[in-house]
Amino acid sequence: MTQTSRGAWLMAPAVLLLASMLILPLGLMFMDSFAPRGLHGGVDWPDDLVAYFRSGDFLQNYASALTTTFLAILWRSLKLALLATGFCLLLGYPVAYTLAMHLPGRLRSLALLGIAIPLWTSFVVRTFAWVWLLRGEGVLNNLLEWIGLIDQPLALLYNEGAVLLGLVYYELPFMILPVYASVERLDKRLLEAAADLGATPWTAFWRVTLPLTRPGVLAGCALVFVPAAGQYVVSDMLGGSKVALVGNVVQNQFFGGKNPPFGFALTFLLTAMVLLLVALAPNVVKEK
Amino acid sequence: MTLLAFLFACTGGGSATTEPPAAAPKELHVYIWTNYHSEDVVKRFEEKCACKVILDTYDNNEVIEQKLQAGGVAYDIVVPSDYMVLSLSEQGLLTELDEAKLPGLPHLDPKLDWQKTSGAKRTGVPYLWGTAGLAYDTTQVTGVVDSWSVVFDPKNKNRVVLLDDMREVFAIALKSAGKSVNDADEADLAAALTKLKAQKPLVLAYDSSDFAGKLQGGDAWVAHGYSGELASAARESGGKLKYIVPKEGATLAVDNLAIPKSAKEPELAYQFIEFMLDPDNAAETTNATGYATANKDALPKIKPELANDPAVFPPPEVLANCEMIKDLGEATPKLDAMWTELKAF
Repeated sequence: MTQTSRGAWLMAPAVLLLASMLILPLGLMFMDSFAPRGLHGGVDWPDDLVAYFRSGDFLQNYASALTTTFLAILWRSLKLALLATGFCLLLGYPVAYTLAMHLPGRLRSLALLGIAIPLWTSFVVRTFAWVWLLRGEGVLNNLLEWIGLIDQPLALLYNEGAVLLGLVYYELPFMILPVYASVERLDKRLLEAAADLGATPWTAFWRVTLPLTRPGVLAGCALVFVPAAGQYVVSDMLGGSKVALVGNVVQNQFFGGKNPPFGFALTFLLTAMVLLLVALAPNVVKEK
Repeated sequence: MTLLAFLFACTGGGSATTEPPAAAPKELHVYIWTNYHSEDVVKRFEEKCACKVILDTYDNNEVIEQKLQAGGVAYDIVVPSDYMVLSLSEQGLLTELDEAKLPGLPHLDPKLDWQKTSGAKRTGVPYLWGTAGLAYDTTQVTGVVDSWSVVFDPKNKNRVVLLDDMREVFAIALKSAGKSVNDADEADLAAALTKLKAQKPLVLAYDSSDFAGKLQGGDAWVAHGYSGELASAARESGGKLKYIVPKEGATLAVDNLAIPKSAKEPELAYQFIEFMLDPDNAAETTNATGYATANKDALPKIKPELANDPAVFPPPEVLANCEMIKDLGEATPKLDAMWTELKAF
């Protein structure tokens, strides 16, 4: 058995799984994104397919997505996802760096465990905890009133800021973990060499550490940005459903909107946007 | 008994005793709204029919539709609302019921037995019903509250909770303008959208699950929601909260027991429906859930605090303005686009 054929056999289960559980459903969804909706929801292909495609009606789902309303929602989703990625990087990098560079082994394991533990709890439950903290009669407002800093509860919940907070809170571990891995793998002798050659710690960080941990940063950014762009639970619970994201519009197509083909079309538009951004981002960073 | 024989007996594969193997009790799979049944009544049914009732819950009509469309689930009883019964029937997903097997049908209030009045095929048996009105905090909202206008009052800025449901929210604007909740006229819907967009700054949140909680917690002063939960929140509040059906009218939902075509135990399902039609069982179900029963002969057996509560059983003149939501068919995407627009900005 040659190396290549052995490799092919080893990969076969994963390839089969991906093909049957990802590519096939995605393909079916893509096909159905060109279909008309059934009267009671569902997908309802017309009998005369040739006439349907000739008439150009098959593009209707994509056409109706290109309205100012939808573009405004798409813009908000991408904006919030980008902001969440930025905040996660700002907050997550120092944490990952300190963990990998300055904490002794045992403390480091404990800290990593601490970062992972919240992920064991249902996301909805953790989001509800934020509702209890931030609501008008909630913990934070009561505390501030008790201290005497405010006399009217602050509107901390049900706005875009609360949605952003929720996104950052949820995605932060996914930034810390890959960055931590890349900082930890960094050859510390390079930093000693930089210091020997007269670099200040700050210069060494900018010229050595940051460029060498770039793969971790990029992986973290992708892991944060992609799910954040498709989120819908956070905007329901912390945004009071007033701050609609693409995910919410897609979800409604499978419930009250009763228009799955339109939901599929929206999904593919979002996927295309996200892929484009993720593909372009590393080049932009490199050129800088 | 050897270990092997013991294990064999445990698996039911063979019997060490001379008794014939007892048939496993039949199972009735019921898919029902959260907090929508009386445990005691269900237990009595299990004893009577020597069967096991397996309950599974949902909080959204569309979930039933999706599950039945997708197939692969075997529910014997589902409890869809009126418009969903029609939609499921048209898709051929519900069994047309044999009325001869349901001698308890005359117990139903003819006004609420909507399939019978409309002359449609019977695919559902009315079970419980409720309205989507509003509850308010009497310590914050003063004066006479009997109309939807309180939802549009700028004094309640950021203090109003509306259901996160496009049909229910548009129903408020349509009813306020004296239109039907099933109005699909583009100009009327556009006018409703304008009204709702102007009202959005007053909205604390659109929420279909925790509307009562937000009112009880003090964050909201006015909550639009389902009578079952809001009326019980009002009863528990000791007068602080009050539920009303606005005089312009509201949506009314009748939930129905129905048997999917894919049911495994249709005969047992018939027995279940007949059992629920019994006035004693119907009254107990209302007493346990706080939702109004569609069973007129059960009314005398309902506990007075529920029977005399206009929030649970609204007066006839208010009820006359209430309507059931009907599927909008072709107009649904139009309304959905407006709903998205309301949420977008």
